[in-house]
Amino acid sequence: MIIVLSDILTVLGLAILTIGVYGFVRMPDVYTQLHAASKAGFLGIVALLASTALHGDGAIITRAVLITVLLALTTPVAAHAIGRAAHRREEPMHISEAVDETVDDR
Amino acid sequence: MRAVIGSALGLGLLFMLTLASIDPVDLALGVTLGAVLVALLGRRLRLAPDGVAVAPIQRAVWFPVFLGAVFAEILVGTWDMALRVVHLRDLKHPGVVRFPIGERSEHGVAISALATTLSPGSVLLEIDWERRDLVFHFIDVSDPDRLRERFERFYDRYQRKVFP
Repeated sequence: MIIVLSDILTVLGLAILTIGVYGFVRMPDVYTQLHAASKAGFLGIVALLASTALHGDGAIITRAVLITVLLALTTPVAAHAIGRAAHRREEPMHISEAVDETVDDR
Repeated sequence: MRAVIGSALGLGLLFMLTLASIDPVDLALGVTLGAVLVALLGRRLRLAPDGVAVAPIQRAVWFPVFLGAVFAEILVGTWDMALRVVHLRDLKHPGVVRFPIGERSEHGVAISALATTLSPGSVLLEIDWERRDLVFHFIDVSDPDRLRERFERFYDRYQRKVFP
């Protein structure tokens, strides 16, 4: 049972990561690419870590939890840093119906 | 002094997370390095004082609820993003929107920004302290007012009791 669950989590993690990579290629501008690439990956990696933890002993489970917490803290910060840099450089959004409530500030 | 110790301890814990280790020696090394950094960089690394006090028991009781709500948002956001990536949902109205900071403390703003940015489909771009707004990019802003309402509802229901 554990092996099946572990396999499901592995496949789920790989699927999420693959979608993240494809999203990076498909999305038209830096902001939308950020959503696909940086953060969709978080859940993918967590699924892979959970799969590993199912097989492992206490030390591996602890490591998986610590890595998950580290990713939960650093992924949004990295995405914010890239997003803020793009916004300050006034990177355009390449979708005609995109909304920008800060456009009057520029 | 308390802020210095808190910051050094926080940096020590971050060091342990980076190493994915719970070895006490790593903790001691991390706290030492953290203390050196705090001493060198001073106020820039110290935690801002939290203006609003929350009873520790209340925080302990509501923290798992808050974590669960954030995890649910991540699942919903990931699902939504996946559908958009594989062309099953339109990508018509992404955009930059402003959210009022409202009654949030500095810590509350940081936690709101972290929790919202962690979910795919939303990323914090700026914190405008002058206008007291958070500027986010969302993957779908076809109805900005509904988004703002949802953001406030999440704060009121789950975050206020833990990180006001």
